[in-house]
Amino acid sequence: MKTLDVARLAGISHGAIFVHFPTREALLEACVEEFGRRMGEALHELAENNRGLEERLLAHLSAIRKEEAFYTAIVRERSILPQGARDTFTAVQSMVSHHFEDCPGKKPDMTKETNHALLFNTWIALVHHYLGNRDLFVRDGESVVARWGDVLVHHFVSLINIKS
Amino acid sequence: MTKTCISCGMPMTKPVDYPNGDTTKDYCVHCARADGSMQSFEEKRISMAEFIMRTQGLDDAAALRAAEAHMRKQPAWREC
Repeated sequence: MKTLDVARLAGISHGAIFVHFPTREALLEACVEEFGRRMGEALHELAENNRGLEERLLAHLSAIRKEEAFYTAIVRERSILPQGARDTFTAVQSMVSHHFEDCPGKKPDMTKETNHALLFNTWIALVHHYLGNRDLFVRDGESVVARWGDVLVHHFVSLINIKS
Repeated sequence: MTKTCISCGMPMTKPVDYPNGDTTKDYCVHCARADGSMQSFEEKRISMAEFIMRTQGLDDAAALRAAEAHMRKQPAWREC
């Protein structure tokens, strides 16, 4: 998206953007950071209240849904985004993963042997597959999270609850 | 009472987030040494990279790059 389009959508002059963001890259990075901040707020509250994994996964998807088009674009283009936006996104993902650690109700044999990073990456891979290939899973204009969110959460939770 | 850690950017909302519960500090419990002082850039860079590796399983070089990029945006390290 061009900065000119951003300005038009925001109802401000093109120059006004560059008062706050020196480059298009800086604007993109700030958007990723703001997305992460909102995601963090939502997840932090659940962790504070000791909510279970299922609730946290649902909250993760709910935050994605609020900016589904933006998040999907980030996911699709991540490896070719400017380095600043990539680094910011990496930090956001670690923050999300951290909020999935130490959930109550984990089965005892899961907590000792499992690699948390692998579990997190499995969840992310699942979500990103549906988002990144939305034309396969939803109609035009339909939300992937709205249609598939509950299914993906329940599937993932039942997968990781299987005793080895 | 909500402050942001000047070293890692984490929000600090309650005493347990602060080193030894000291809410006058500007850095969080995860950026403090055992004696309560703030970790150096190099110490924090390594521990943040380890955090990134633990949470996402990244390659260590990628984790160090991401940790350093994140830290350089924080007030404690902007001038480094």
